[in-house]
Amino acid sequence: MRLLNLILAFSCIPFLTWAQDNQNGNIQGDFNFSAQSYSEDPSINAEKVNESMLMNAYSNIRFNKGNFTAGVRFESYLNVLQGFDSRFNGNGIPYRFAQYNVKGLDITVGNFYEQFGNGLIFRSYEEKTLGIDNVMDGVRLKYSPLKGLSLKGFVATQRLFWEQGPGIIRGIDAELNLNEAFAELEKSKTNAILGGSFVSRFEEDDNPVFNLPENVASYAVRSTINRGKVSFNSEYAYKYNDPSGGITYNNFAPGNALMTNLSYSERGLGIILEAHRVDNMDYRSKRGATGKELTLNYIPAISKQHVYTLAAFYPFATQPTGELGFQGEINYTFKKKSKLGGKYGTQVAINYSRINALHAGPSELTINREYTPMFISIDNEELFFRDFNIDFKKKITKKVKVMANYLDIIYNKDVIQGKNIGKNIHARVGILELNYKLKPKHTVRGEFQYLAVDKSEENYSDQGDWVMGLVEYTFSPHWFFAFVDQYNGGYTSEGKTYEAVHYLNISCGYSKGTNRFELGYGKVREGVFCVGGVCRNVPSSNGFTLNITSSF
Amino acid sequence: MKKTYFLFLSLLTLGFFISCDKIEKDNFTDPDASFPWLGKKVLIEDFTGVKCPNCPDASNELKAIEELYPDKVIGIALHAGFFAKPGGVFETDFRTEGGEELAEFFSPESFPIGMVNRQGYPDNVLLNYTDWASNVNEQLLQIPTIELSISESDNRITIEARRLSDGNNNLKLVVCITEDKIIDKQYYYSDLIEDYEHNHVLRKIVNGTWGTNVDLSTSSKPFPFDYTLESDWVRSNCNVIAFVYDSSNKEILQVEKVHLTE
Repeated sequence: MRLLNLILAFSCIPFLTWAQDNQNGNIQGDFNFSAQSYSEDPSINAEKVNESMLMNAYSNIRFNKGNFTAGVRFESYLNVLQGFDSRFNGNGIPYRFAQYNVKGLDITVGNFYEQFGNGLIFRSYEEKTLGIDNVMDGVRLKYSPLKGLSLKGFVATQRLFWEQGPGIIRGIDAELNLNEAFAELEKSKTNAILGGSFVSRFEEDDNPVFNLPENVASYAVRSTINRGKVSFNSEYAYKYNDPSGGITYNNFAPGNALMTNLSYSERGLGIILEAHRVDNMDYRSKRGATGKELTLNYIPAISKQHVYTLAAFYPFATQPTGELGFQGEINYTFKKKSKLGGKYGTQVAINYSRINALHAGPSELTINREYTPMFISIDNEELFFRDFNIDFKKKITKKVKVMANYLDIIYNKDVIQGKNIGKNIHARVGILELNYKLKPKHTVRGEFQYLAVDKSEENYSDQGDWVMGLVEYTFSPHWFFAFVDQYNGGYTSEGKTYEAVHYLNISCGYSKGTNRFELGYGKVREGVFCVGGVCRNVPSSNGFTLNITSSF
Repeated sequence: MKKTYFLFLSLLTLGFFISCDKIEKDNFTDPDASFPWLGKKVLIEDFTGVKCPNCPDASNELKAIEELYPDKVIGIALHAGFFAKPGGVFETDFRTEGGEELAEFFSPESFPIGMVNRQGYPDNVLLNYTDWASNVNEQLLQIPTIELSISESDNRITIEARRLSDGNNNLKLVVCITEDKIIDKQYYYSDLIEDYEHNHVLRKIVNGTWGTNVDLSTSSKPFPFDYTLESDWVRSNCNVIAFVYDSSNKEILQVEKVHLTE
């Protein structure tokens, strides 16, 4: 009987605690729902789906009281929208965690996202729009034993749709802020932060022919130095032998990556110069995993991420197996009342990026061949991507704003999309946007975009030219209506002729407080959608879309 | 106090650095790949296509696995889906009704990809080719539950099958024909190979994609099937493959192959 009482007493504890927390703690949540119907449309190769409509939805709920936080995320893909991996299909709670902090020791059990430095050897993140969620599941500790020094460490596995990948990942990261750690540097005009990290993956070797390393380690060192208007950021990463082949081929070469970034900024002027070199740095929590599965690291994109639809028509996807890239950008604001600045000032940004293959490909170390590419080689190397663009923004009157963009892009579809064309695409894009305030709260926005591909023999004309127009009317804070037409004049590919087609789309949205509803109807063009150099293919479709977001 | 932290930190770091295996060049391969085999054979089904740039890597792997385990591993190349659609310079259509149905059912999203005895259905049935050998190795070590043999004469195939242990699972038998040594075009990365040798090509599933229900006991039973070869298939390059699978989880329990002779 005493035992029973004891059990009863203990079983009440969670409820008592819950009640107390409920009085003092706070609960936050968000919700996101995207559904689409799919009808057959032979004019754009769109197929209907057996389910008629598909849906992706999720909700995060987070409870916080003092030093304690716990949260869950429910996800539902019934069935998953086209363009995402069908292994997401189903319902479940792939994310739950509890975290608390006692005297500077921060403990997380369950799922967590984490990044070491720039992510060259470790970045666990989610990007719902790309169908990426490589969240970790295990234990993470964070601690600051000394002023200016912070340590992080974890042991965990990684999410693979509704399961976990086979690898066990161990990681540790230390970051030292010199100005905080050493009293004599506290007032120095130069600020410096140094960091180092180490990650190791364990996965059993069951290859019947090759001896594969069961523990694959990587390390990285980094620094950030600021002085006045100048900032310099760099990181070097090294990955030990990580062969991931079957029994015909295994590459035992180590990998490495170096990235540097120098920036200068003052009022009205910003300059950024960046370079990175990546060799054999596809690092995953399972050998031989492909696509967007189980990625352990992230190579930051070295080309500008464009927002306008046709500017983002040919986006670059970072090649972690090997690339050499450079980027430079100048942002300048012509002052108000100057000759070029006019009454409200004028903003201009010029950006250039270029990415090419490493000389004769990435490092290789096999039974038959040992090869390390030259450190820097640009001339005559296979070009992956080149983008020169100018961005211009100007407020003309109190009511009128103008934006103009020009891009000149060379795109290697073979490398970026795994095709077999043998020629690059050379596209030039012009964009004009006008914003007109009709009266307070009422704004009309118009966009005109034109994409022209080079049709000479030397280049691949892909789908030919595109033109796009958009009209959007916003009645803030609640309503917006938009009408978009993307037009393609028709083209021939692999002996098949595609007719001219209008991709018409209408949409309207209503938002009140944190609730937002958006309903759309029309044709979706087949294409590639990228965030930060990571991309997803979007198939063509025709139907209704409904998006609902909410938070509390 | 500081000393303790540094000691703790250095020990931890040391621990992490130990967790790294560096393999030296003369030790890349493990020469001893022998193991006790009890009679279970393994089927690798390779979803492929003439326009799939890296599919020859998977075909080479399949061939290497067959050579590593002679007469124990059987391959079928299923030309299906987008990459197998004729178009442009690719005139030959290697697709089959059965191959397309299998692709529709197992839904491979990226090529090349394959199945080893269709094990792991539904969530883990599709495997990257780099994982085939280790899965084959694991399957070959299992105790066989079905015995199969194939005989062929006058366009009639007879399969003899029996259970090696008692069981009441629902079994299905599939009989199909494959052809080797077909010379035709294939992409290999950015190269178009005009005279690529296509092996293991599925030509026909004789008794329907999902086969025939078979009620097996521990004594052997014959199952006859009539078949015809199309005129453009080279008989001496053709094989008859038969396999028995568990209809509840799709897993292939035993597979057998005979090579047709003139």
